[in-house]
Amino acid sequence: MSLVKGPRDSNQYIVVSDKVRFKRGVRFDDDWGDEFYVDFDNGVDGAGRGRTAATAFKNPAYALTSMSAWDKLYIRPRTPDVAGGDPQAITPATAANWSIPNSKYGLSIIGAGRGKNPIVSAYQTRLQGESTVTDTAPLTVLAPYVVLENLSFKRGGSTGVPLVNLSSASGAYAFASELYRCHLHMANGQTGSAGAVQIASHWYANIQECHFERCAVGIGISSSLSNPVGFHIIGNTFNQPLATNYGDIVSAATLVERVKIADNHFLHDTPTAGKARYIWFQGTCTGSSENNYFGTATLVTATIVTLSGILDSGSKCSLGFLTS
Amino acid sequence: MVDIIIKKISPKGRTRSKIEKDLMKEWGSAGLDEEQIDKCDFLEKVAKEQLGSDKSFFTQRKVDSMDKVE
Repeated sequence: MSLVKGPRDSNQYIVVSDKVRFKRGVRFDDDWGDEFYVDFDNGVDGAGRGRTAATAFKNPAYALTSMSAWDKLYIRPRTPDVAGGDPQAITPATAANWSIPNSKYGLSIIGAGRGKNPIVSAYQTRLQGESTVTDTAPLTVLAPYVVLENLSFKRGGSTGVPLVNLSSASGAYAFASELYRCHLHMANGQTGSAGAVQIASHWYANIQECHFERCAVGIGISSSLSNPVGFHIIGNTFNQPLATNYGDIVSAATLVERVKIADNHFLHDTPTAGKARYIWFQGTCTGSSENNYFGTATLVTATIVTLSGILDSGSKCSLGFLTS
Repeated sequence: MVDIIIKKISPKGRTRSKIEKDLMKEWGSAGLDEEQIDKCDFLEKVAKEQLGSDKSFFTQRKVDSMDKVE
């Protein structure tokens, strides 16, 4: 499609690429659902509420119970703690972390922070695990097609578990889910089975433009029910402390197929704990790792990345292009 | 005599850009920023024009996939 005049501002023009051309026959009606709203500081849970920003629910769990497949949930940031350093978090109302069951496929959960960079916008809408729950991720996804945008996740009382568990149980897989511009904060799981974002035994996930802050493992990949297949890990930033960083992308699966790891910024030096690699795959992996930046002076790929059967081309460190 | 028909896109139905604009008014912030809402609005018009879809919900990633130039 050619250059098209912008819809509102007469000085702006928009180029619509081929990606935006819609296939004949495609409709969007099914990809809709209803919208719901959560405002933790001002909202009230109850029947007949939650459908407008002015009548928002208070708790995400109440909203998730009220929602159906394909629905959208907007979450308002809390009033900031102006005297502190971190945003005030939204925490579960009861001693149970949040979960999206298999029947609620296609949900979109969207933070409403200002801006669009995850370290600004997502950071404002923080979902934190409950303080007495010690064994589950703040958010477990057991449904396909779930989209998470502009949200920050932080652990509560749990240690050694993911922040967002794209999980799997028999008949309940979180396949084809997406995290876009999310912020993952201080996850402390130290294995490929407990990454800040965990891809567990399912197919297809897109983790794009997210920011991982002080996580022991950024993205974990594991297989228990089936071999994970088809992941895009694109445009993320990883800012981890070296001494407790066990690897930014760690796979504990014996076979991972069709992975694309591209355009990520690993802002720190080579991890010194655990796998002592930025990227570490235990088993065979097919796919590509390309165009990443590693914050190290080491030029030799093999000393900072462990991949099997994967092409690493075009990636750079602080001294230039990596060598094999 | 030839009639010239000026085709106008009919108003959209329930769309993400409308929700986001309402949210901006109510909460002062939304899931998309102003530029993204502008792009989303345009995508919806294209969808309406090409497919007749009154309803749509584009993810932020799809909205960002458009390039914008001055």
